[in-house]
Formats: sequence, structure tokens, C-alpha cells
Amino acid sequence: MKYKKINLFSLLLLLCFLFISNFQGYGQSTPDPGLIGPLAVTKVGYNLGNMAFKPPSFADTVELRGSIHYPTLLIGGPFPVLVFLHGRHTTIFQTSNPANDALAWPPPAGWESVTSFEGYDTLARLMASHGYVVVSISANGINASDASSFDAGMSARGELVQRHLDLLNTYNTVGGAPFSSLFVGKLDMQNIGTMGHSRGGEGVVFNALYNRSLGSPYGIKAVLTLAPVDFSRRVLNGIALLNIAPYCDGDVSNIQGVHFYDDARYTDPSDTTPKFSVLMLGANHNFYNTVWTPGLYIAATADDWNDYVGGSLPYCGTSGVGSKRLSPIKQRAALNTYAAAFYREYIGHETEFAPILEVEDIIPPVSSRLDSTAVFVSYHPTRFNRLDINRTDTSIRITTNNLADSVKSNGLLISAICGGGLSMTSCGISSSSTREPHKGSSGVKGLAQMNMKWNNPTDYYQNNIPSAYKNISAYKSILFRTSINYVEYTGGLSLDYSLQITDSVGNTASVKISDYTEANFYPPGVVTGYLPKIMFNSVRIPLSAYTGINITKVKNIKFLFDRSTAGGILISDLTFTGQEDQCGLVNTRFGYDSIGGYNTNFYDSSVVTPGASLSWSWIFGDPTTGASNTSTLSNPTHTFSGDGSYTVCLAINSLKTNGVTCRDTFCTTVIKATQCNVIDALYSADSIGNFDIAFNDGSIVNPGDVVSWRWDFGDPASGVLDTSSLQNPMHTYPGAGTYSVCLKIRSLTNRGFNCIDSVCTNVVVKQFVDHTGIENQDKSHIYIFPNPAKDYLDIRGAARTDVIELYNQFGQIVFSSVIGQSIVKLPETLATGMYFATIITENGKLYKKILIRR
Amino acid sequence: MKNKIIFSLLFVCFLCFAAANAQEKVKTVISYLKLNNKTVELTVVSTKPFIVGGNMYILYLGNKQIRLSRQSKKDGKGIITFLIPLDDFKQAKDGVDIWMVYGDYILDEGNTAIDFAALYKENPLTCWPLGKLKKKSLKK
Repeated sequence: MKYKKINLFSLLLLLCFLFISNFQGYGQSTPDPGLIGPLAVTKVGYNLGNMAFKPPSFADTVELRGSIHYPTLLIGGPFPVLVFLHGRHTTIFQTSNPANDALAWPPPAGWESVTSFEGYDTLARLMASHGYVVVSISANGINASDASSFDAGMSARGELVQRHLDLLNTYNTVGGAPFSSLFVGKLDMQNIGTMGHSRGGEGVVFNALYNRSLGSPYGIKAVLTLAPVDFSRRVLNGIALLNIAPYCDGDVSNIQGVHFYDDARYTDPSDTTPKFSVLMLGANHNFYNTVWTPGLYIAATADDWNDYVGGSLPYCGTSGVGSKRLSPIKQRAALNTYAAAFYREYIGHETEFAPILEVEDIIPPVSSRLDSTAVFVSYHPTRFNRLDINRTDTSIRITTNNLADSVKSNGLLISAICGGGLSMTSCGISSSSTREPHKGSSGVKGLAQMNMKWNNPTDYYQNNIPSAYKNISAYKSILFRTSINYVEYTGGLSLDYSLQITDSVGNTASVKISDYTEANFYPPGVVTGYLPKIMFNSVRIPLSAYTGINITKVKNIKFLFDRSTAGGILISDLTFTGQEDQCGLVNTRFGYDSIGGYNTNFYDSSVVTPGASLSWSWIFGDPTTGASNTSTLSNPTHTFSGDGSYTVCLAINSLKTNGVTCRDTFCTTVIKATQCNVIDALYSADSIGNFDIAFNDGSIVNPGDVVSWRWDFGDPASGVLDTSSLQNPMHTYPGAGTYSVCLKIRSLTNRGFNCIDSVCTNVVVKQFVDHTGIENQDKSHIYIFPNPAKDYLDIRGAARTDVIELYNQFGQIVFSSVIGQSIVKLPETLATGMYFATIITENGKLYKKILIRR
Repeated sequence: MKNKIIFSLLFVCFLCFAAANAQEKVKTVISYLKLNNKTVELTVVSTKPFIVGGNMYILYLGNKQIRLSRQSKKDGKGIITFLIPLDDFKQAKDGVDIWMVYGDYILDEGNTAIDFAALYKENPLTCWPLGKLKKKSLKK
């Protein structure tokens, strides 16, 4: 009996080991971006009226209304901005009878607005808790009549978002009703992300392009299209893009949003931004918005799959056989997590979340409430981060790949490039785009792909690698997109095969696809006209899995169909990736300093790749100065032609030693005015302990000016603490070094003119010996006891008229007193923590660090 | 005999009750065709409100797509008025099939026509047959 128990236990252990080792997958060490952040959040709203704005391209006048979620204390800043745009939905309902709703604008008496813009509050709160200012805007006026607009109201949506950005810019510079100066200096209008749902998705794409057409007054860095439409097939390049595709979308059932990803992959050779698409099985169209979700709002809600397709139908119907529908809470959690990963990386520069969207960590974060069978990601790396083996983008790729080497296959029943539409043959999957979302539409081609079908374990598909590219040691992974072709393979099961690499001497190494992905799932559901759907998802195999071969001499990559006895798959975008994003470090920035009259010194403060050769290209937005309107110096001086607002741009070309050239551009507005000539940004810096630096503003402004400050401490690793809007802040650096510290001041004159000046200097931070009451007392005649302190400080050696001030770690003054007697009582309200004491004497100031323990 | 009569009456009553409470089928028809300046307005009315969502209502006169419309609701009925340029209306053949579809269905490469009958069978909730075009019913 005992022997049997031991054997059973051993068997269980063995099974557990086999299960764990069978799925190599990727580690779960990626931090979870969807966890609530450390900052308290406040929500406010603004409503400038139901007929406050007429988009230039729209026949009707619409509302200007929105909500703002922001970090309550607004310490530091400016903060990155997110703007959300909802989609087309019922616009008004009767207050006394919410079941009576309509598509009309403005609301007549007795009716009120459906507040679709408030449907993303959970995401807004999440992002605000991480230091973002999140604005969600209302678009009911557009929704009420966009069906009769030439472009379904898309241009109007872009113009509406831009109008709100202009409004935010006003709140950020001079302030305005209803917020007064609450947001002055708090909004980073050069670091903006947008999200659009449904028609709002195409709307934010239109906005990004519209903003660009206006000379990019705002820095839109990331665009998220959520279950979007794509009626016009506009292509967005040059901005990081994430598309979210709900498999059970009963409204936009042909999941058009895949085109935003597909169309942007190879359109612009200079595009240095990545593209992502996330497929959420079990998600519908409406549940991402609480105002559209039954049970969560009082009017005009719907479960789009149940209502427009059928609730009793399999897989996607909530009462259907094998239903895998996500609850509203789960669906919103999934959105919040993946949106947070996207924004925190591409707006917040928190690169630790990269593995989630780059298909290195395929285990969904816990906060998403999903498992790895419910969510799949497509990732298109930047052109600097991939070597395209076979894009499968044209018919010639069946014989010649993108490395100009041959493509071979053996034994395949089907081996064809298809699906790109127009001049390229169809893959014969479906006549309807509902089943094949990647399909082309008339006039614009769809996704071209490699269609393969096998029935023998020796069947294969091979791409040869020419000798010029045989050394792939600089890359980390093989990456491609795939879907099972449910027409050619009707087995209903997931498929498996091997990906084999052969080197120049004939050594081979293979990995089983199923060890690294679950993307070879059989598309689920059988609903005539709707399911299953072909949806491409990325597979990423680490090159470290290939042992026993020389990866500096690779000869070919082979899909060897030796696992599933028969099958049919589609693949696209076969590439090596994982090379260091060589241009990711390049971040162009500059400061400027008025030096008298209209003369201005410009300082390049960009972050560039170490060792790269740089060239600068300045444009001062001052064409009347002729040749002086441009410069190729790193730190030029420009004399502006007169009062005015000038858009100054710096473009840096960064030529790396490996021949790669990275380019980044930054623009900002420089205001010159006679009355601004006196404005001069100045500051000093004092070391007050270890790596703590106290900054003192010494700027010159007009008497009576209303001044705001923006500090940039040149310490990006400190996140939101890298900036401050205080006049005299403190900053703790991570270590000794030289940091480029910039102060920009805005001085609102009594004539309402906004004068701006900035200064950047290098601050040398050294280890500072802590002058406490215990150490180094011989270096000062003023001593402070005890340290740590609790209820009082005993200050010896100070004059009775000297003053002690205490500052907290945020640079806020929390206590001040004339010293008088040597004993100074501390207020009970001071919490335990480290404080910075400043003793103000006749002969100057003395700084000491004091620990208070309660 | 008396019991048989009572039972029969009860059965007939049951049938009537069932018939009266049977789900009423949604009816969607062309309400009117009107010339408004250089635009022909074709109004479709349904006994059930139309979806207000992200996708697009498209009217097909044969294979000709009409995408501009106005959507509203009144007394629980759904109303969509398509705005057909007069030239397009003139070019359309009298007697062609008229369909309304919610969603932009892609024509298969190489094909020029949608199989509406198949589409209707697959998507009965988002595809509506509206009969044939009768130009003489145009009100001016």
C-alpha cells in the first residue's frame, strides 16, 4: 500500500513536471500594467454648450463637452495627456421615460444627452492613477447626423478632437473656465495618446492625420483604435498604433480595424513606429463602454452580438452552446490592461511592459482577467527592429523572398500567395469579409498571405537565406503571423508543426510551434455568415531555442509539417526581430534662452545613441530672415524678426557606427514680444545632501506678471518626478553625474501676453556628506538636535531672528518658524519621514536633512 | 357529448390565444420615394427601431450602393431615409431588386455582385429585402 502511494505521488510529480516543461512559452516576469497606480484621482467635467462648435467639414453644430480624470494633487508635471472619443450610439433619451430614446441633437426640453463619453471611466481612472490626465469627449452632435455626411463624419470627428486639444492647450497655458488655473503648466501637449471606439476609432486616425496637416501643433504619440470601423482605409504611419479586435463583435462584425494594422505595415519606409493588434475572443462591440452595456446605464444599451446576430448562437451568443463570451467586467478589464500596456510604454516610456505587446510574454497579465486562450497579439516591429525574410506581399514571394533568395516547398497540396485583393487571387475562404476581415475592399487591397495545405510529415515550406544575411546573431527571435485556414482544414483542432533552421554545414535545429504559442488555434464558433473568422496573430520563437547550429551561418528557415498529420494554415510577415531598437533612444529636445531683444540662444538637449555622428537641422519658423531661418549648428542663436509666435523645429540625424541613421524631430512654439524681452529664465542649484539638489528660481520677469515654472531635471528614470511646476523644487538624483536641467518659465503679462523663456544648464551632482546634528558639526556653527527628531528641534548656534523652514520630499514647505529660543516645537501634523531643513541666517542659508519619527 | 364540445371549445380558445400571442414578425418596407431638389429620398420604415451603431446602412439598387442616409425613430418604428443622387436614380433600372444591409460587405475579388439571397439567409437581422424599384412611385 505504501509502495502504491509513493508511486502515485511520483506519478503526479512527473505529470506536473511534464506539463510545465511541455509549454516553454514565455516567463511571467513582465510587470502588470493594469494594476491601479499610486496616485489619487479626481474627476471633473466641462460643458461649453450643446451647440458650441461647428466642425469645418460638418453641416451641423455640435457640443463641446468632456470629462477629465487627473492625479488629484497634480504635483510636478506636466503630465501626459490621453483623449478618448466614443463611437456612434443613440444620442438622447427622454428624462421621464428613458426607454424613449432618439438619434437627434440637441436634446429638446425634457430630454437629456446619453453620456457615452463617460463609458471609459475605469480606464481613465486607471491611467490617471499612473500620472496621466485623461480627457474623454462627447460626440453626440456628430453621431446624430453623420450618416448624411460625405465621410460618415470622420473629418468632423478629427476636427472635434483637435478643438478639444486646443481647449486643453488653453487650460495648460493661460487657464480658463471652468478650471481657472488648475491645469496651467500641467498638460504635456507634446506627449498625447488617443483612443477611439467604433466610429471614434477611425475618428482618432483622422485626427492624427489632421493634426499632422496643421504642422503637428500637438505631439500625438500613440493611437488606439478600439473595435473601429475603417470606411475610408486611411493609413496611419509615424505613430505607434494599437488596434483591439473583438471576435464576437455583432456590430462591426467584419472587424474592419484589422486594416489599420495591415495597411500600415510596409506603406512608409521611413516609419519608425510599431504596430499592434490584439484579438480578444469572447469580446463584443459594446461592453467596452459601460454606458452602452445593459444593466449599467438607463438608456439605449445593447448586447450587440445577442441583439444583432443571435444570443442563442454558439460561442458568441451568451446563451449559445459553448459560449465563451466575456462578461462586461472581464471585457473592460482586458481593454484596460492592454491599453495601459500600450500607453505606459509609448507615452510613459515604461519599457518594462514591452514583452506583453511584442509577443515575448504570451501569458496575459492577471489584471486582464484573461487566459492565454482568449487573447492574441499581432506585432509589427519598427523597420529598425526587423529583417524581413518574406513579407508574402506580392505574387513573386512564392518563389523569391524579400532577401532575394529562393523559396521552396515540398509536397504541399496548396502553396500559393493569395488574398491581397485586386490583382491578386483570393484565397477562396469566404465571399464575405465578416468571415475574413483581412480581405481587401474595392480599391484597396487586403492582406496578402501564404496559403499552405499539407497531408504528409515530409511536407515543408522553406525560405533560403543568402550569405549576405546568414549571420542572424544580432536578432532574438523569428516572428510571423498566422491563422488556420478553416476552409482547407476542417479538422476542428489546433495544428502543430516545426520551425527548423539549417546552417551552412547542414546542421539543423527544430522547435515545436506549440511550445511557444497557442495562436494555431482552430477559429472557434460555427454561425452561418459570421463564424468562424480568419484572424491573423503573431507567433514569436526565440532563436535561443535553436541549439546545435551556427546562427552566424544560417542557410534556411523551414516550416516542417511533421506534427499534425494534415492541416491548412495561412502565414504572413515572416521576419527576424528582437534587435535592439536602435533608434528608440533618439529623443530630440531643445531649450532656448532669450539674451536680449529678439536674440535667442537655442540649446540642443536631445538624447542620442552614444557614439553616433550627429547632424542638426534647425528651422526657426521665421522665413522673413531668409537664410538665417535655418541652421545646422548644435546650439545656434537666432534673431527673430519681430513680435510673434514662431514654430521652431529641430531635426537630428543620428548616424550610428553600423550605418543606421535615426531621425527624430521636435517642435515647439517660441513667443517673442517686446514686452517679453525682459523675461529671462535663470536658476541656481545647491547640493543639500547626498544626491539631493535644491533649485532656486532667479528668473527676471515684469513686475506683476503671473509666472508658471516647468522644470525638467534631466533624470527620466525618475518618471513623473522628473518634472516639477514649483518655483523652487528639490530633486533627488539616483547618483553622481552630470544632468541637463532645464527651466522654462511662462510669464503672463498684465496685457495678457504669454512670454516664455527657458534655460538649460548642466548640473554636476556629487556625493554630498550629510551635515546632520551628528556628523561634520565642525563644519558649521549651527547644530540641530536630535536627529532623528520627534516633537522638537534644539537649534544651537543660530541667532534668535534666524528662521527655520522644513520642506518635504516634494519640495513643499510644511513648517516655518523664527528660531527665537533654541527649542523649536514641531507641529503634530508632520508625519514620519525625511525632511529638508533650511536655516535662513543673515549670512545666507544652511541646509540640513532631518528625519522625523513619530 | 357535452364533454367533447367543452373540450373542443377549450382547444379552439387555446389556439386563438396562442395565435394572438405569437411573436409578431418585424416588417420592413419602403415607405415612400420622394424627389427633393436633386436628391431622391427613399425612406424605409420598420416596425422595430433600427440599430444605432458603428456600422453603416447601405442601400443597394441592384449593385449600386447608396451610403448617405438619415436615421431616426418615431413611435417605436425605425426610419432610415436614403439620399440618392438624382443621376444615380435615373441610371438605376426600373424593377431592380432593392436591398438594405447593415454593414459594408466586401465583394469577393473578381466578382461584381453580392448574392443577397445568401446574405439574407446568413444575416437575417441585418439584411432586408425591399422589393423592386418602381420609379413611377416617385413623388415629385
